[in-house]
Amino acid sequence: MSSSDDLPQGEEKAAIVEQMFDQIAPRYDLVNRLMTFRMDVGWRRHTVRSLGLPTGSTVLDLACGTGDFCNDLLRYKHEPIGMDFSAGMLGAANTDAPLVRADALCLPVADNQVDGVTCGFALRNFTNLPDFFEEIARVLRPGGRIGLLDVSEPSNSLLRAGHNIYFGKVVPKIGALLSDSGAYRYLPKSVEYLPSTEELLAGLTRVGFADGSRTELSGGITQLFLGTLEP
Amino acid sequence: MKEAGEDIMALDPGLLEILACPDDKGPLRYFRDEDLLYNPRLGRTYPIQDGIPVLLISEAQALDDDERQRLDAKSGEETGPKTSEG
Repeated sequence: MSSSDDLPQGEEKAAIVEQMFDQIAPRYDLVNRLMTFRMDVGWRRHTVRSLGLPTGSTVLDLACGTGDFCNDLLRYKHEPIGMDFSAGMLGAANTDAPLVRADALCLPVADNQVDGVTCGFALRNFTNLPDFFEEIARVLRPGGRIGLLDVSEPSNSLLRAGHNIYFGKVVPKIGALLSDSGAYRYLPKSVEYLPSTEELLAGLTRVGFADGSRTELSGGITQLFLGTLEP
Repeated sequence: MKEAGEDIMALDPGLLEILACPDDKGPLRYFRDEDLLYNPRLGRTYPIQDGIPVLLISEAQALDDDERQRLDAKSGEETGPKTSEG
């Protein structure tokens, strides 16, 4: 992790993100539960329910990390497949879902194969979101659903101030204490990578998710993008 | 005594149905005994490490002609699972 405050781009970003997630993998679940007060569990389950897919659906979870989303998909009787770039995360995974080491921008999946795609808190880590959106539209069957979660900043100014203090000051300290301080300085800052809501929704519409929508969760500290691939 | 290959965990059939080469998006042949996935069109293999296929173009191994012929012949002999035809 660079000590610079500048956020890396392109290939440098991909390499740093891969190395960082390899490094924080062993305690990733513990730190996530602590720093979100277990709210991350509720956000993921809300996402799975919001997909509205019939049981037994094949759902690709991209940037699956240690398999949290896969486990929630299994809980709702779906058939998840987890994919992640980081060998460290996959090695630390704790799920019965099949796993694949892959690049979310260049998926090892044939066209029109899956019923749903989920992704938890990784949009900001991808080096190219338009490519990511094209890939998920390619692998989904017509009518397939997406549920993409990521961090956000509350629109209410008071909530936003508290949120900024927590993620800017407290989260890096929790991370430093239990895991890697550089990574947990990067993670709150990486929200700056995310394009505006309008740009994200336009990007989804462009690849065929005309009904793409954004919902704020827990006062706007997290956002959920849902969409259905047009037939 | 365990026989050779007994420790190798078979890939999930549902996974094999959807997997494709990340480069040309076409089907791959699965050789469980060698723990690899083979793309006969591009003449390359992808490793499977600890039961996890590594389907990154950067991790693919380009094969020489002899190795391609060997795997092509083996593909012809086998009736085992193949990934999706896309």
